[in-house]
Amino acid sequence: MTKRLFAISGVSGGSVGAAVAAAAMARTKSGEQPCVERQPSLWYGDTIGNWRDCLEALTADDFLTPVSIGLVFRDIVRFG
Amino acid sequence: MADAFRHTYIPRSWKEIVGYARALWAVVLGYIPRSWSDVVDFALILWVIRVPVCALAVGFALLCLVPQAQDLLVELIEYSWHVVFFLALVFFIWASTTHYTARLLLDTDERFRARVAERSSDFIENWEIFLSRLLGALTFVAVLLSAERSIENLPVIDDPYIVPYVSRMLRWFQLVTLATLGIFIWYMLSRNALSALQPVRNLESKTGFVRRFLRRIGIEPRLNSNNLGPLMLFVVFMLCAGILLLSPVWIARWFPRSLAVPLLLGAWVPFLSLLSDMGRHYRAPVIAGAAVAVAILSFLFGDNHSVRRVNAAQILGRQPDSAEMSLNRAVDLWMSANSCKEDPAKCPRPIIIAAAGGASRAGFFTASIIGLRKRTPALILPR
Repeated sequence: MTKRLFAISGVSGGSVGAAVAAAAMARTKSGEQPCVERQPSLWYGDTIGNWRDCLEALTADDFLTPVSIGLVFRDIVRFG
Repeated sequence: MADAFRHTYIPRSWKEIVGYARALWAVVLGYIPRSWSDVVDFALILWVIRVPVCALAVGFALLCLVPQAQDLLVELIEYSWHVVFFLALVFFIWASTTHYTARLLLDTDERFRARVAERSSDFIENWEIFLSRLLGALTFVAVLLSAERSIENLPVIDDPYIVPYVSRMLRWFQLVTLATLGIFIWYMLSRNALSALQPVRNLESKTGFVRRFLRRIGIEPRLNSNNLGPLMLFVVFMLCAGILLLSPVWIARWFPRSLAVPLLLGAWVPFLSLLSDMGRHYRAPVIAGAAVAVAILSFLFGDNHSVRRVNAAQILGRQPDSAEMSLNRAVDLWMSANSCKEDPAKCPRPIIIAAAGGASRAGFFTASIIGLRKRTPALILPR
C-alpha cells in the first residue's frame, strides 16, 4: 500500500492524522507497525496487533486536557 | 408570622393551614423586590460577588452548551472512584469556593455593610444570605443539566445494549450528584453548628495563622469567626499557584478530562475574588489593572510558550530541500517506486487520501482508515 500511496491531503484534525500516519510509516523499514506500547490507556482495544491498531492508539490520546489547563493557567500568567 | 413558619409543626385545622400559608407568603415576600431601592440592592449584591457569579456563568455555559464537555461524563461513569473524585472536586474546588467567596465578599465589603445598615430591610439581608447559598448549589445543578444533555447526545447505534446501559449509568450519576447536592445544602445550613463541634474547634485552634494572614491583608471575615472557610480558600489558591508552576501535561495526568473541569472553573475564584475585594476597597479596577500588568510584563520579559524549533540541517547533516516539488517530479518518483516508469500502462492505481477537518476525531479516523488500508491491502481496488 505504501508504494501505491501517491498523496495525502488534509485540513485541521485530518492533517494531524495524516502526519501521524506518515511519520509512523517513515519510522519503519520492515513494514511492521512501529508501536511498542502494549496497553494504551485510552484506546478501546486491548493489545496492538497491526497497523490500524497502532495508528488508532497513537491518535487516541488525551490532547484536550493539557491544552485546556495551559490555556486557563499558564497562558494567562505567561511572562518569565 | 415568619417566625412561626420557621418552627416545624403539623397544622391540625384549616385555620392553622391558613396561618401557615400566610407565614410562608411573608417569607416569600421578603425575597421579592418592592421598590427601585430593592432592585439596586440586588444589583449591588451581584456586583460585590461578581467573580463567583461569572465563574458560575462560565461553568453553566461550558457544561450546558458545549457537547464535548457534556460527553466527558460518559467516560467518567465507567469507574465509580472517578465519579466520587469528580464530585469531591466539584464540592470542594468549585461549589464550596463559589459559596464561601460570595459569603466572604459580602461580609467584608465595607460599603456594602454600610448600605445594609442604612437600608435595614429584610430584602437585602435575605438575599445576601440566600444568594451565596444559591450560587454554591447551582454548581451541582450545572453538573445535573450536563448529564441530562449527555444522555440526549448519546448516538443511535446498532448495539442494543451499550446505549441503554450508558443512559442508565448517567441516571445513576445524576442521583449521586443530587445526593451530593443534598449534603452540600446541609453543610451550608449547618456551617455554624459544625464549627461548634469539638474536633472542628481543635482544628480551628491550629489554623489561627489563616486569620492572622487575612487580617494582615485586610480581609478578615467580619461575621463568622471560623478559620476553616478561609483555610479552604487558601488551599485552593495554593493549588492554583501550584498549577501555574507545574507543567500542564503533568496536571493533565493527575486530573484527566472531566476531572480537570472543577479545577478550570474553581481554582481562580479565590484569587480573583481577593482582587475584586481590593477593587471595592480602593475604588479601583484592580482585576482589569492586573490583566494590563500581566500584558505589560509579558511584553517586557517575554512569554514562556515553549515552541520547539528543530534544526533540520543539523539532524540531516545537510541543508534540507525545502523547494516545492512539481507534480511531474512527484509522478516520476511514484512511478519509479512502483517500477513502472518505463511502461506507465502497467502502473497500479494510485492511492490519494483526502482527510477533512474535525479536531482530534478527524485525526483518529484518518489514521484509522490509513491503518485499515495498510492492514488489509485487499481492500484497495485492483489496478
